[in-house]
Amino acid sequence: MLFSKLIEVNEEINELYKNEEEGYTVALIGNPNVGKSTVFNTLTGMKQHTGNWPGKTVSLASGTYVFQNKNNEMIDLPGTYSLLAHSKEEEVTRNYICFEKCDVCLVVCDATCLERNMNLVLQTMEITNRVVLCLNLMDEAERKEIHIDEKKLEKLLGVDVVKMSARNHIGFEELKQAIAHTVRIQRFHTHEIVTYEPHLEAALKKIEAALCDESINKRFYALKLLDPQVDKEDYYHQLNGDREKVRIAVGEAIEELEEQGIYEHYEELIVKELSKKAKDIVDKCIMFNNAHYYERDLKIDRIVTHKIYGVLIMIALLSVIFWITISGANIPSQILSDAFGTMEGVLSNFLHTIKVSDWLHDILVLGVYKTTGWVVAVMLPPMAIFFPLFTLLEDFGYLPRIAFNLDGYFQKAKACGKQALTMCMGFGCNAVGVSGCRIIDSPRERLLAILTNNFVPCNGRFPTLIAIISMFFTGMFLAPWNGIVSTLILTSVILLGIWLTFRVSSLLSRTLLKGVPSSFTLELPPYRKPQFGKVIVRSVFDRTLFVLGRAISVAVPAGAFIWLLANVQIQDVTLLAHISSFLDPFAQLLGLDGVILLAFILGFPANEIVVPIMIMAYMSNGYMIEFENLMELKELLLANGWTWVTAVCTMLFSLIHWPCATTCLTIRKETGSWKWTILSILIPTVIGCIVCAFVAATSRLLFL
Amino acid sequence: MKTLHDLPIAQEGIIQEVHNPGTIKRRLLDLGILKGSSICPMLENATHDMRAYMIKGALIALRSSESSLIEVEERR
Repeated sequence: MLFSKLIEVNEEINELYKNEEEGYTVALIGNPNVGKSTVFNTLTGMKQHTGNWPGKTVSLASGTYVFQNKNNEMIDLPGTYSLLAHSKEEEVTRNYICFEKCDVCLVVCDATCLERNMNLVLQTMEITNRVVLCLNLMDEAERKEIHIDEKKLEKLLGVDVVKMSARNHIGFEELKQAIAHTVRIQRFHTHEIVTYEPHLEAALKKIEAALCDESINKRFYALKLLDPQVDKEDYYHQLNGDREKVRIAVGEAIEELEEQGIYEHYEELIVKELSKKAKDIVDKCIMFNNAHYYERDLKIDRIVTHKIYGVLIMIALLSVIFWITISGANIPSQILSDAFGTMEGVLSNFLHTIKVSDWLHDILVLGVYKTTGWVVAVMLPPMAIFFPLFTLLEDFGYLPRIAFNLDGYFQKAKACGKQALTMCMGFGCNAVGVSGCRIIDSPRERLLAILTNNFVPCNGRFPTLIAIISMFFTGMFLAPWNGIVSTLILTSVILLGIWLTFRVSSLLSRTLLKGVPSSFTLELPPYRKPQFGKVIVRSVFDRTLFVLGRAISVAVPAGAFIWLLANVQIQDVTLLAHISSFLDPFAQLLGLDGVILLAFILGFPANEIVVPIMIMAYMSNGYMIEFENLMELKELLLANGWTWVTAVCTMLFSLIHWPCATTCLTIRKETGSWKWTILSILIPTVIGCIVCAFVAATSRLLFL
Repeated sequence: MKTLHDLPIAQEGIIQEVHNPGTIKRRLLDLGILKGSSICPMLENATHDMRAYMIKGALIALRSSESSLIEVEERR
């Protein structure tokens, strides 16, 4: 008896100390674009992508950090302005804090607009008293001459407050201390964070009295059980004790509020008091000297959102990025290509010395090695230049201005202006663009953005386009003009893609996805000086190498597979020739040939391997064994019947065809439906076929 | 009564009433767009359908369909 009691006590003690030994769970919340991800990354050493626009964190990420020998878990929750509303992110965040019982809730705030951020702090404090307030972007605040008295803030709120500049690695020690401190001390304050309108308070008290579950925050439950917009069953489900009694109390309270005529204004009453309290607190501990702080940004904004030049500047910026990419990629591409050529000889000799059979030698060298070599030599340099440049632009805060400039066109297409942001993400990778569509609240508009994301060419397709442009359209120009002409052509191709995005969105809005544009708000964040070093390292290692790695992992098996197709013969004709001649009549209709179409089909896993497949297929026809630069490749293509019409059609088809496998899977995941996934394949494919067939037919008619 | 959409650029105003329905009202409330707040239009885009407003230290863009449902009074 005594023994079992001892065990029980022991277990209780263990339970008490368990958290200490295992570390604790910290939930990270904050308004969008306040540097939450930077805090998370620096603390946990994870490399979650951060950028200067709202809505980067679209899914939950978790990581760990060690402090005082404890391994603590950190959960990065989606950015939200409030915990009241009913959007997906806000519900996820609210439910996590409310039901998952994290040890500390770290609220990251933008010190430059604390009043707005304070709403979220107060709402979080209504749920839990284990809150640490992190005042991030202190460097910006100081520049704008905003002085915050954090000691006073601490006293007013009754939680730990830490000043930080996460980008400059300032304040992390203090932050870890504050988190540990908040875990250690027992805060039992259950005082009301905000006092609401008297009738509302009476109703809340009534429900609080009916709640007899001592393990919950009664006031918060009362607030949610009264809220007309909240799924109350979630909350009832969590309750221990007499749920019926609570239901009756809630019913009565709502009835009374309705009689008093204030229930229909419920949320407004709540927000009004929250805002008042927020303003109250902020007024007490902030010294503003903000007369001119927006001036510098305003100057930039007046230029980049100018009614006439705004869009032109946008196109010019895009062109400059392309120009740097194209002209900068040439030389490293050539060097890599040469290096791979030399290595090929070495590899080949080595394989001969260890006496592997001829067919294995060929499959490894001519199949796997050559394909992979092409992917690296042709894809790596443009990606390694484009990604950092684009990331700089993103870091600076320019992308939301693109959305601002283009909103009129999206509105005409009855789409959401934020689609411009997901479109921009598509330049990097369409799969990323598709999952980024979560920043669009309306389901109809989100689908529009998902279905049309593929019309902007991703980084897997840029180099293909660039290679074809330099081979066929700029040969007659001398440097530096060839680079400029390439840029102009590439920019026009991209603009065609963007134009198609508008047209197809508009068409879908009038047919399958009928509806009116829904409301949304777009935040234009302050411009921030990009962190050059970090951007370059991050975009090269995280994005470039990641995308390249994925391409190589597809290129290796694809190289072997295509070599087999090109070398296994049936009735003296290779399998490849069988398939390509089967596809040929249809492909000719599109201004392509069987090999090109086959290359696009086999390139389904990754667009990067389309060109190497073409090369290998053509080479197996016996025209050429070696090629060292693009001009020799052009000879190979010309020998296989390419004309400039073929080149145009190939570029168009590259721009407008089915999304790659990764993107398709992402679409399936995001829409949760195969129907939309199939549609997202059909739409660009059909349009691509029509456009190519049109170009081919026109050129034939004109005998070009 | 003037709506937010009619407020001239750089003219500060005080919000009198927010008529927007449903979900967007919550979002506007979250951003501090509610009765009594001061707001100032800063930028307008080329197609005149969207303007950016300075509200509580942040620059927030709204379409005319939203801003025309918000009543304001010019601050002198």
